[in-house]
Amino acid sequence: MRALFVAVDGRGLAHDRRTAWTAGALLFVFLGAHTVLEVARDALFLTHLAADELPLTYLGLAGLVTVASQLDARLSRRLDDRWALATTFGAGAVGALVFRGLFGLDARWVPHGFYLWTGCIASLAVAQFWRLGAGLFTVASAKRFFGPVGAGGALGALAGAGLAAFAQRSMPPRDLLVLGAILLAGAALVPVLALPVPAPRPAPPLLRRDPVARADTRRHLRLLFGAVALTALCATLVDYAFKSSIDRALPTEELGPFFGRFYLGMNLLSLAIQVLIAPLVLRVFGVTRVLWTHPITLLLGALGAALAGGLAAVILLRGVDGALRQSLHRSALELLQFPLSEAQRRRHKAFVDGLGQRAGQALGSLAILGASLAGLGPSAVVLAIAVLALPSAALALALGRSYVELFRHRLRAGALDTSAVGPALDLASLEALIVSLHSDRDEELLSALDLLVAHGRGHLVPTVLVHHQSARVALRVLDLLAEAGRADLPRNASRLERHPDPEIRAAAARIVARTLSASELERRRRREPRGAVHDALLVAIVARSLDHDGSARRAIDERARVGTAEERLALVRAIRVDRASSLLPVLHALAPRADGSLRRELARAFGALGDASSLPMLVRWVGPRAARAEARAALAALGSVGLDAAARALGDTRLPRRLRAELPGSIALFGAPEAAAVLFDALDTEQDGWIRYKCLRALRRLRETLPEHALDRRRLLAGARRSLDRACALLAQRIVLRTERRGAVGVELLEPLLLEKEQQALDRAVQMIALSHPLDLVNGLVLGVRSVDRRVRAESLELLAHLVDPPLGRAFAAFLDERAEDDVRLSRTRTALGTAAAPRAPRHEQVVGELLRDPSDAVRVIAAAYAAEVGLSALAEPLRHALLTTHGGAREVIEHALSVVAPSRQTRHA
Amino acid sequence: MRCPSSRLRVRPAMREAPDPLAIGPTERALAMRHLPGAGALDPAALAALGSVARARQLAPREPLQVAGRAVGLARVLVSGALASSDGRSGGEATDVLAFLSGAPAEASWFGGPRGAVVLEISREDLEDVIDEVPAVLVALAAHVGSRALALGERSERAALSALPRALPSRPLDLVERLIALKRCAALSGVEIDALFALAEACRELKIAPAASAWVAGSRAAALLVIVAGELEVRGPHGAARLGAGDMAGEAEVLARARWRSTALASSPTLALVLPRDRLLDLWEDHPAIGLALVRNVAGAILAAHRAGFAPKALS
Repeated sequence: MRALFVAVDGRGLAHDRRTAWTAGALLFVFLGAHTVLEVARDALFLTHLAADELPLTYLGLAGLVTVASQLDARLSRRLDDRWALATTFGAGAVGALVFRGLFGLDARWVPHGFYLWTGCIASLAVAQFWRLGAGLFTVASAKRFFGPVGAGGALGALAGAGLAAFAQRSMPPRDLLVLGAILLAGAALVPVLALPVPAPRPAPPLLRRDPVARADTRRHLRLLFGAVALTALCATLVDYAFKSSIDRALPTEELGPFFGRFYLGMNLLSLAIQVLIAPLVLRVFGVTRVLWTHPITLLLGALGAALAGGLAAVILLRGVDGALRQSLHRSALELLQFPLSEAQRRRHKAFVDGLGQRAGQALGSLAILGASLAGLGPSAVVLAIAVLALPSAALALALGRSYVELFRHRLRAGALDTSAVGPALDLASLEALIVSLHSDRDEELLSALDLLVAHGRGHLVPTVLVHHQSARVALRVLDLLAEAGRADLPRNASRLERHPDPEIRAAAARIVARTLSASELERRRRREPRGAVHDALLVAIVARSLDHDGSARRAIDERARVGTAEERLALVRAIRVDRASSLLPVLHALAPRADGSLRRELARAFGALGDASSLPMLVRWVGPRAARAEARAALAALGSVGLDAAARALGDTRLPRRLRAELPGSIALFGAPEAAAVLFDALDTEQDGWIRYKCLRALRRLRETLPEHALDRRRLLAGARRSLDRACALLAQRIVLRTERRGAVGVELLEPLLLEKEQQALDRAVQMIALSHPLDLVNGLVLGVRSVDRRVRAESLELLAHLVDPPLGRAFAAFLDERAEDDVRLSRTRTALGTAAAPRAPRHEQVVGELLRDPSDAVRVIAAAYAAEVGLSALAEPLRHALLTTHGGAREVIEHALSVVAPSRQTRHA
Repeated sequence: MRCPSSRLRVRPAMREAPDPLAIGPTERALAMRHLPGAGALDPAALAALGSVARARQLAPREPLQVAGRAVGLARVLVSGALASSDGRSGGEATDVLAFLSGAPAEASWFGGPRGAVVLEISREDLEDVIDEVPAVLVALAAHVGSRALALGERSERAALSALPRALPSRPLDLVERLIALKRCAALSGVEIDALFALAEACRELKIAPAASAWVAGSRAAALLVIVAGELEVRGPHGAARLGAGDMAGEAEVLARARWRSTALASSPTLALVLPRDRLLDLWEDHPAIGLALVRNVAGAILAAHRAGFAPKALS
């Protein structure tokens, strides 16, 4: 189904759904067991001890969880997460049975010990469970399934409470431990028997060794710990404020029924959020935005309770906090751990979750004790909650950024880290260049010359090189030094006037002529026989306005008209070097018939003379390879008029496609924001996908020279949106075609062609988004969303979604949802893009008709062959139209198609 | 913004780009000679390659490439040394065949004991350079072709045989040629636009039973895509059969070599012939064709290495 992706690894939607069901059932049983044990624990504790001993137990629990999480980290290196979880459940069951016996001793330490044991087992098991979950799902499937899985837990807690209440009718609290132990023992079997082995997800070694990535990972873990602890601290304070208010407001006999109703309502609300709202909200808004719900709820709730002061406000605060914290917030916190590697989660998850939770509770308990000692009432606690919402919000912001940054690290660490810092090697480079100037290989020497000049070090070229034994080298040096206006050049050049090579003599003459007086120049002109040197002198005379009788100009015109190819070349070179603007008409006269080396030399001359009237010619010469580089350089040398000419040509659809395709690269050479604007305009209006692709490549080149903000992010995003819309249109065409297609052309050519175009449109969309970000993301994202690795794809998509606004992020997520059928993907993407209602499903003939109007010969021919193959007689007119713009073998195919679909009319037409 | 020489294709944009390591253009060009086949390139082409590469400094033992992961960048050493997980050290270019073929890296690479400075080129950048300097692709192709030929035993074994089809009675039209090229495994991944250009450029060759398609020792001037029928190829290392969908001669054509085997038609055979010169012309507009051939040949070399065939000579 999903040919768009290179490969699918077999773990599809059905597999994830099965896993989610099993995990949900496991959480149901575990939290049911834990609730049974919790009911027994609270009852046994308060039976044997006073409630004011609880804060001490909380502190002890925090210490115990710290130790246990370290043990868990070690254990998890030897066992996979399924076995680690089973071991914890098994230990919980055995411990419950042991404590049942110990409660018979009636010792004071036993309730403390059991409280610590159940708390520790629950903390470890929860951390291990979600760690296992992260190994079983990708970030995309986690967004879909973590909510329902968590709902299993909420249901389990409800069922556990009901079971405990029912069982207590016939058994004492101590015997509930047996019931809990049985349930835990049952839960211990599930991970190893029913859950699949989690896919390995090692951190890329590059990531492990990358100090920046490591620092960011540590920061992310600290932030996660802070978020968990702060959430627990707030929850403790909210709970205290709630219970204090209820305690004051209700008589003792009403407490039990009220709490029963309240917790039932809260758990049902939590369940509804977990099942119905959390998956949707997480997919639509993303993790980082969902993180804000908790602090905002706390702030509004606490401020409402503080200002209104009523019981209802506090109940609402507690209810909403409890419902959201256990559902949406919990899922978001779990998702925030996805950028961590498996090893990092093994090492830190129990610590972050377990200790964070307990530390928050302990801090909350201490704060409440402190408030009681200071004589502060629940209203002060409510205000403290409002204040604590602010650091919660700051943490949410920091966590969101850190989450995206870690995904970036993962993407870069795959293969694409190209950042670098280090010592300068400039001097070594110069040394190497100077050494190359002594090379006996002409190519190396010439290249070194060009490179020195290109980097503004032309003054380092020794003048003595004009006497180099290779004519190519000597000519090049003469040319370069003449352009640079080196003062010592004429003296050296004069020695070359008797050189056996006429080209070198001519080059030397051009240089020496600059220093000669008018009379001397005229005398030498008369003395010199016809040839390159003579022509160089003629040009020098005209360039210096010494041609009073016009004879030199007439001679030049004649040479241009009837001279040999070498003479014309030398003439143009002389005009360029002498900057003889008055001879521009000669250049224009030569241009129409010029090809090869003459065209290259003419392009250089037009660039050197800054001749704006040559622009149409230069633009045309960008097309063929012969003088493309020189024509591009000349356009760039002409500055803004050159850019305008290139932009106009790019938008002129009457020009050959081949020529237009070379113009974006030429525009990129201008290296300015104005060039980017031209390319953006072309991307907005261009119909030809190939040219759009070239524009995007050119923007990428520009992006290398311009800072990120130089490219208009708004236009990039708009372009990305259009490209995704285009991908949707192609997908719609492919869907239509798939239901109708028959024969080899449809199956082997047309459908793959549409798929290719769809992929290209998607690549364009991703690249446009990445272009407004650091360069390493451009390749990383494009490769990432097409990766064969499901996890890399999901992580790239997650990062992509955070680089754009939510609707576009949702549109990408929908389009790249490998599990959905094509028509579902299409409909969801269009809904997210807001184009759902606009385009109706195109008809079969309409799809093929559009392809017949495509600028590409290949597309038109394939569409024509397909029309013939399936006999689309309605397409006779588009076929006739396609015939007008097609030639050669392609035309034959279209003629044949026309003869098949409309034989009689075709005959008349012919 | 003037280009000082027609031979030089250094993009002005790149010249102005900040280079954190400030590696000069000559160092860059010299380092690029370590790329496979790049020794045959002239300095201007090397400079063009060097101009798009990005410098990266590696600390001692700092990982550069992870075994088993896609090789997204071609890397060449500028200074220092590299070490690999399979014990190789001092490598001057890392897993370039894997980079060209799209195969995963065979080994992990790290900075040497004193660290290293490398230049990295992405696929996109390489395509950009090839767009400007097609000689780069020709040189790379010649290199992988030579290496494939050095694995002579492999090249005669690796051919696939698809089911032979009936020989058509009339010349193929453009679309039929396009379908034949699309079915050719060696051209997989080449976009249909580019295949279309190939289809326009190729000609048909009908080979009667027992007639030769090529003879050992003659120059391989064209590559063949078999449309129907079957060829029996006999060389110094054994025999193989080529059927519809197979390509023959890509290594020889890339390496400008002579045929080392003789192919006789065992049934009436129809092939599409792509002359080398025409093929190289097409590469200029559609580098993807050349890159696909290079990718396939490089992939075959890696597969042969994995299967235990040692190269007879590495160029």
